[in-house]
Amino acid sequence: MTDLEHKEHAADHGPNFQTYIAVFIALCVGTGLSFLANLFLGQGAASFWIIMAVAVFKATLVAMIFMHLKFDWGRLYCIVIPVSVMAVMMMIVLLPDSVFYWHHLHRQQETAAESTGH
Amino acid sequence: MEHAKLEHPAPEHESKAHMGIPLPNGKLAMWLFLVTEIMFFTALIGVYIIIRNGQPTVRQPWPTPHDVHLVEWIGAFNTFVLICSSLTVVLAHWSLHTKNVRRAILYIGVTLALGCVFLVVKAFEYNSKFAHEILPGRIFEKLDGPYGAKFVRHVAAQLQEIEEHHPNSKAIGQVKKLREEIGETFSGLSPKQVNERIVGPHHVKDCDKPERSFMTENDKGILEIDPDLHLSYSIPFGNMWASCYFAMTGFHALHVFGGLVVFTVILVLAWRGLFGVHHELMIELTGLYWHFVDIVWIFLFPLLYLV
Repeated sequence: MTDLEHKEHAADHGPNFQTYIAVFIALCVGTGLSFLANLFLGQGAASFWIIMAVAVFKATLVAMIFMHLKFDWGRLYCIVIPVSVMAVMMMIVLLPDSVFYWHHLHRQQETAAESTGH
Repeated sequence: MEHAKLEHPAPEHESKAHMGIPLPNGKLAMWLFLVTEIMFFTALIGVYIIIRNGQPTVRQPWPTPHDVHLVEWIGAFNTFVLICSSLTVVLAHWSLHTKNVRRAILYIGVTLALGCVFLVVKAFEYNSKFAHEILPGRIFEKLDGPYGAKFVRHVAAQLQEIEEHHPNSKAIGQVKKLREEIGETFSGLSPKQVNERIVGPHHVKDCDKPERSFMTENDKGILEIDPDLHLSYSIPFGNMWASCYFAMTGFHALHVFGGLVVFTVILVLAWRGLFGVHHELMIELTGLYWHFVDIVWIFLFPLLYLV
């Protein structure tokens, strides 16, 4: 595919000015929502899930609209999907040993400390 | 559209077997580069999440933003700045697409300015970390044994400096009192008692609570009275936090700087009259990179400042 053909394609299917402004407003609202969730809910499970869900939503908006992934998906899915799967897997495979085991170990130590009165 | 084209017989001068992804070479190269970048930042963020959720416990928790002099609204402001810059760069591409070169140059200029604002704010944040010694290897994480003795000597030297250089501090009375109580032999108070005097009884972590406290519920720590004083205090996992913070935000800031260099080159081209609609793909590729930098910050901001 030549550069000229690509430009013609983008002209047919690219987002318009209004879409960009709408995404910008959504990103600002998302940032405000995260900030307010932290301010009013503090650091806890509820605020964690709200804030991370908003972060994923914002990242998806930027990737899909600003990076034109929505319009180039048919040509880029073979690059984007494998790396997304690898990125998520990399964290998931590390969690059981590094996080779950330590938590389990600390719970055991704290229980032992409480039973001995320290 | 492209798939439909490929189904038809190829012209004689083209190979009949169409190989590769139907994208301009530059765009394909940029996406392959971004894929490696995704894995790089995933590794950094992944390691941070694992460390953050691994060893810390209720008694010995991970540092809060307050503990390490991070201000949430400053992080939110920087997020807003990067979002604005993402909008301006995409509008620059859109302007060039609609043949409006002057407006595209203007948007690129605004993007460059916003990127500079981001780095300036980050520089102020880094300066605060240096001033308060929130640096890898410089934070007191434990107050037992030889670390505790070293902590008391370090604090005594800092108190002396405050007395000499900040005599008008709101907490000067408490500073003098603490220095007297520590004494010449540094044995007047235990390290945990010194730490409690500095941060106040409400901010002491469970693992740092002294066996015997001389402070009441109404007493305030020196840093509660005057937060700007440069006094060390115990931050469990502080060194690990600082390593993660500087690694993640440092690499991100380097990427921002790289983007600013490209925007500067574009503006120099425009200044010399060499920039035009034929640079549309270049702006699109630069924009892809800049949006990726924005996405990384979208995750760094909540992870470091909020959760």
